[in-house]
Amino acid sequence: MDSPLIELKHVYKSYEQDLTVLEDINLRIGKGEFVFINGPSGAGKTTLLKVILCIERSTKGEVWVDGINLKRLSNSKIPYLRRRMGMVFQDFKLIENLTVFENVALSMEVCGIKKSVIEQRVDQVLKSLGLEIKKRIYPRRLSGGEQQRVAVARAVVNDPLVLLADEPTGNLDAGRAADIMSLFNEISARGTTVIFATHNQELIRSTAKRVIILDQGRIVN
Amino acid sequence: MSVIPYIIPRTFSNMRGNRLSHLMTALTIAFVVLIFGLSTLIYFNLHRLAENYSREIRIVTYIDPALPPEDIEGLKAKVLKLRGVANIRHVTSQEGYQRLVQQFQDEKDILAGLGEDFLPSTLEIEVTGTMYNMGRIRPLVSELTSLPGITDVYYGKEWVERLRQAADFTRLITFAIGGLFLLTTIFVVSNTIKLTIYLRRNELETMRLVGATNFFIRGPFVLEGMLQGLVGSGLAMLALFALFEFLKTQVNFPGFIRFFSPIFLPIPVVTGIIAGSIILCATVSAFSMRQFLRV
Repeated sequence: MDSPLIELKHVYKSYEQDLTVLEDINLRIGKGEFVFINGPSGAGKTTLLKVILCIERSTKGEVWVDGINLKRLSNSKIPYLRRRMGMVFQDFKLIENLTVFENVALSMEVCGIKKSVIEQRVDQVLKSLGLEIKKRIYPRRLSGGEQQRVAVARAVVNDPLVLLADEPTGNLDAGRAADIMSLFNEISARGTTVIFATHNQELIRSTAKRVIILDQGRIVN
Repeated sequence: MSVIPYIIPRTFSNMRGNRLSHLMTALTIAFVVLIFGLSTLIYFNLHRLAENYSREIRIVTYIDPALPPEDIEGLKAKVLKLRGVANIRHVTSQEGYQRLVQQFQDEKDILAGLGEDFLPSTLEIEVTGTMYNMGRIRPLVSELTSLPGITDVYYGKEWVERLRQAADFTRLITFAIGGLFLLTTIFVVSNTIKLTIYLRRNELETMRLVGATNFFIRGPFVLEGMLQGLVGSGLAMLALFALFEFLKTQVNFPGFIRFFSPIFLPIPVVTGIIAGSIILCATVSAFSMRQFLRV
């Protein structure tokens, strides 16, 4: 791996003196790679993703994303970094009073993209995810699987460099989880780097992707 | 690329979603601005009244009857040299008597038995434009009093000073109400914003996660604040104008101010109050967001 897209060097994250959530994390993830972050609840998977997305700052160590040292990134520049990354959450984080279309369009609106471009692109993404006929519907009227697909649509609509997913199948049954999994495989096949955090061993066993195992804040494999 | 086309519709959709709270805020602002405006209006008109009457001030100095007539010219020259004196006129005892006769045309009996020279001769002094301020007239009066040949100085100070004191007091009240307006607006607007933030915290969190800048998140709140300021102060000015028009027809001004015609606040003052309310509400909104926007 010549120049990794994401690199963590001796990264620590602690909240109080006694509460260390990440400990000496060293990690390199290349462009277009699909990586699973696996580990039990409380292992530090979510915190690791938060550190990469700059929701949390590391206490010690360096985090590099596409050549940017996050330690040196000012707060005002963080939104611009996040626009180059997509994030999918276990609880979807859809906005209840916005339609499916508006939820997905939000990622582009914050970038100030023209309305006509947004309409075209959002329609295209919703179509590719089989959500075209649901675009005027509000999230509460969708099934869990559909809501997660909307969340994925919102995360990929800006063609991000990297897609981060935090237990995206955690609230779904096995059938829906498999659908979402194949969706991530498709996105990865198009060249997007995918970091997929899950505690679901079944899901990992069904693929032959690179797996990073976290336990009590440390990488153990 | 600009986010402004997205901020404006978002502002209105936010306000629709939180109608009651925004209405209450706008009405509270309207109420406080109305009180502030009323106080400003009273101060403004009292000040005008005092100014008008100050311009008509004539200082009257009574000349010592023992002063030889040939010294009066010398006295006039001395008075003319004093700072603030624009013009003087010597009114002899006879002229003074003739004036009284004209004033009491219908009741000539009052003057019966009084000789034409029973009044002392006087010097009527007009002051320059810069002397209308009472604070500046007082030193001139002291100088006049100290001149030999002048027995007394009269300038109707009591009622003019009372008018000025009333205007000054109203100004104090206006400042106090202005302070109250400031505090109430800060409290009400910031609480409305905080309530909205609380109700929409998940939405705002999601916006941050998809890369919204602080400007994009804060924009609709600041615009909401500006609209609240505009609606609240606009309503207050309309209500104040209606109240003013109503009172003008109802109140009978007593005595010497019978001919004074009160006027409404000038356009620049009304514009200033509205603009000030808008700026204040927008600033409070922006500051209320600060805590939330810390990454």
